[in-house]
This record gives sequence, structure tokens and C-alpha cells, in this order.
Amino acid sequence: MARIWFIAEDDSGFQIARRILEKRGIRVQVERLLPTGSNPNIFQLAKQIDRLIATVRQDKRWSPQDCIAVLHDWDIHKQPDRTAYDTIRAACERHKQEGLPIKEVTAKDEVEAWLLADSGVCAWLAQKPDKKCDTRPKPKDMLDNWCKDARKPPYKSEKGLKEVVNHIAGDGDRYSPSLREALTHLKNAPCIQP
Amino acid sequence: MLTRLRFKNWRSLRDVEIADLTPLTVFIGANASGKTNIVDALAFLRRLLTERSRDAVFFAENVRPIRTVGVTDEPIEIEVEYKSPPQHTNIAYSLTIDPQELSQMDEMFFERIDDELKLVGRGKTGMGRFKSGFFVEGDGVGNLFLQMLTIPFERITTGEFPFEFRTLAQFLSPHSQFLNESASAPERSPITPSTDYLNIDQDGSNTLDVLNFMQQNHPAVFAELMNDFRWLLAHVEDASITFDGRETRLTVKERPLSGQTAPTVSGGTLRLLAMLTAYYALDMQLPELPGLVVIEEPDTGLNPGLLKRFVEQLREYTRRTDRPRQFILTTHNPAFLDYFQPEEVRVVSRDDKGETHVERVPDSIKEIWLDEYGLGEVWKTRAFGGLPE
Repeated sequence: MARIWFIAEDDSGFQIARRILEKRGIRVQVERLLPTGSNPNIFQLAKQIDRLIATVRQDKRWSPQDCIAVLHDWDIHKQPDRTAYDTIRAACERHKQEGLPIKEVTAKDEVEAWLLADSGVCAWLAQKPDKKCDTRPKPKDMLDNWCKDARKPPYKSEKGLKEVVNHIAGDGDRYSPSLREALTHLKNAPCIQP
Repeated sequence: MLTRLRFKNWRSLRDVEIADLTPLTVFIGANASGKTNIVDALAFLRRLLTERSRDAVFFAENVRPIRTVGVTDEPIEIEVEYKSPPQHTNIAYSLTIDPQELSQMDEMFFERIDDELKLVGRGKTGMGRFKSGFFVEGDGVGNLFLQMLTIPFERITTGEFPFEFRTLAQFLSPHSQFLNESASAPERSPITPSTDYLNIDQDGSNTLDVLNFMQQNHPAVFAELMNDFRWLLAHVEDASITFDGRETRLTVKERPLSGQTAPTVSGGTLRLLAMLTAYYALDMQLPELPGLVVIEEPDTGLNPGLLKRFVEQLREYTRRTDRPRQFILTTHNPAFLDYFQPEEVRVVSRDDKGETHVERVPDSIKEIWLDEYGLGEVWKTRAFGGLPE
């Protein structure tokens, strides 16, 4: 089976994306690579994007049928300086021009926005799906508050993340255009089996 | 120096080969990935060469069953390859046993079967065949099997067998020292008449007895150990061992106390002392012979700021040509891994069936990352395995 290699800004983004693919029945083997550091972020991703792509391409499991998805938050509300985002986009474009099957997948404004509209997560946390999830300035904080209100482990903890991921239904694209776009990108990727 | 290890049906090591070992090798992997099973197999060989095989099997089985779960009809195989100085001859030692059959055998003897000398056991329930022997690469030596179950270790090591055999037997035991992940020197220990003064116990409990023996009988070795102890721990001014007829006691004088005796000694200090003792214990008998030091999680209890100095010290030990030493270590710590080269690292992981796999760090990692990042930092990116899900 072909692989999709997620180069993700952080591990929570990867885990959410993997679960959504699984729940949507998208058949692909998933691998992950993160930037260095205990709390990787967009700046490290931008600085290391070429090294991370090179690492995937040099991995002995890499095959020409595989593809790469660079997954990160769009952060338009919290990051006025767009240099890091431009660097990532330029790197993806450059590698794409060289023939590498690579897609940049962005969540607006954070990958947690996809969960604010997810029926499984919302039902578990006794919340109504948020129809404006993609426009919320701080989806991660919102989700964390929802967890606390529902007396569940905080989303920002390892345990909370795991619980939330376990409840994902994968249907957040009903209200999240950024997830809809991401799924379209991923479904059309050459490594995805119909 | 050990250059290759191969295990079949040994606990989670269903079929594992570890080649191209270096003088300093570190195994990394998630909890329960099988690192300790590799160390245990080497400790088992050590016991096998000092005690009778059946005792070694019974001892190991007492701790945990030694055969891979679910495997009932295949023997356990352990093979080690060793490069022997000074000619760098390759020697292999291989062992094939069926622990269940072995436990039912009352007597052991050798029999020539199909041009090979095979070990045979006879018991009330029938016959069993086991294989234990050395193979030397080179002209005219061929297969030579030693009766490891019936020949006392002394006969192997004192001249009755070819030099290469003796060197490997010495290297695996008694010229090997093992420390487990919680090993530490005690601050004091009561007199124990049966204590081994030349080999440190895996939990480090006899460290002070070994050090006391070293201080009394090998003062130059003890002084060298103390020099390294002071170099590694800047707060230590001096340390000594005293024995008052009832107990052995460690005294550490500290610089911040203007050379006064410290009322207590920290856990990290005691652990470091146990590790240095494991290394220097090898210098007390035939120091020129190659030696092996196996330490599980040596970084435990050590400040991250000390790790670079500690790894440099170990590396220096491996470079002492008059006393060739090999270190096999395990770790979970990326900060510790930062000071190793990719070729010194083996990544241990378990698959969905629970079987352990051991892999090298990809060669490309050096070129892609190590100009700016430490190997431990790169490990956390998941560029190679050994991290929990």
C-alpha cells in the first residue's frame, strides 16, 4: 500500500489528520515527521522544511507511489508576520516543480477548527457543531475550554488529545471549508487508493 | 570486540541480527521494545560461560521465560561474532538450546553426528541434542566445538584451548561487567563474605566492596578512577572507602564544603561511581585483555549538562589501546543521544506481532541534519524509529 508522509507542524495536527482520513475510509498508510524540539512550531517547520522533505525522500520505505502532505495551521489571527508561511509554501512549490508529489495542507485558523464542527467530538463534549469554525481566532483554546466545561481531560494535555482524537467522526467538512479543501487535496493525491 | 549478534527465539528477539557493532554502541527504543532482552541475552552468555549451562538456563527462566512467546517447537539460538586482537581474527560463538528439553536432561555428553561434535543430553524422558561451540575464521581451524556444559571454565581460560577461544571466553566472562538501569553504589554496605571483589553485581550493590578491594590491592587503578570521578563531578574533591570490620563505607569530600565530608551522597553521584567501578574493575585482572561493559540507561540520574563529558569519557576509554574496552549501552534520552554518531546507534522497535527489530540509523541522517542538530534532536522528529506511538 502506498504511503502518505505527513510533515506536520506538531504531533496533535498529525493525529487529528490521521484519524479523519481513517474515519473517511481513505485507504493509505500514514507516516509522520515533525520539526525538532519538544514543542515544535511553525518557525521550526519553516526552517527545517527542506531537511524534513529530504529525510522522507531518503527513507528506505519511500516509494514513487508515495506522496507528502505538509500540514500546518494558517494562524492568520495570531501571526501577522507571514515569512514562515511563505517559506513553507515556496519550498512546497519548488519541490512540486521538481516532480515531487507534495501538497501543502493548511487548517484555518488551526487544525482544531476542524473538530469544532465534528459531530463525534461535539456530541462527546455536549456542544453544538460550530458553523463558523474556520473563522474562530483560537480554535485550540475553544476546544480546550469545551473539554474543561464537559469535565474531560484538557485538550492541551496528552490524555485530552487522545480522548478527543478517539471521538472524531471525520465529518467536520460540513462546516469547515479548510477541511473540505484539505480532503479534496488528499483524496486526489496520487498515493490515495480509490 | 563484539562485531555481530544474532538471536533466534530469545524472548521478543524472534529473529534479529545486529551487525557492525562499534566500540561504543547505544540501543535506543521505546519502553518494552526489547533493549533489555538484548542485554539479558549477553548476560545469559556470561553466566553460561562461568556456570554450567543448565544453571544459566534455570536462572534465566526463573526471571522470565527465555523462549519467544508462542514458539514451542524451535530452539533458542544465540550467536556472537568477535574480532580478536592482535591479529583481528573473527571468532563466532553459537549456542542452540531447547530450554524445555534441557531441563529434563540428567547428563550431558558430546557425540560426533554428521561430522559435527554435538552436545547430547540424556534423561528419563529421552534424548536431546544441543549445540554450543566456537567457529574461527581462517585457514585450517574449521569448526571446533567445546563441551561448554561439561568443561569447567578454568580449563578454557588457562591454556588448554586455542588462544582465540580463550580470548572470547574471557571477553564474555569474566572480562565483562553489567549494570542494570537502577544500579547504584550504596553509601555503606555490611560485610558480605561471598562478595565478588572483581565483578560488580548488576544492581551495583557490591560497588563498595569492589572499590575497597581496588583501593587496597590496586591503588594505581583506584587513583585513576578517582581522577575520572573528580573530572566528571566538579563538586567532588576526594573520595575514599573505609572498612571498620563490620561495614564498608563511602566517604566523599566536597569542594563546596571546603573539603569537608559530605553528610549524604546524591543518587547521581552514587550511580556514576558504580559505572566507573564497572569499567575500572576490568583493570584489576589481566587489564590488557579486551573487556566489555554493558550499562542500561547510564544517563539516569545524571544532569544533562554532564552528559557530553560523560560520553567523551566513555569514548576515551574505548580508545585506550593498552586496555581495549567495548561499551554497550541503552537509553531513552535524546539529550544523551546527541553525543553519539549515527553508526554507534541501533534502533530497537517491536512490530504488531510483538517481535523486536533492530535497525541502524539511516546513513542520510548525518548529511541532512547533523551539521546543525544533535542526533537526539533529530530522533524526536521521528526521522528514524524507536519512539512510542
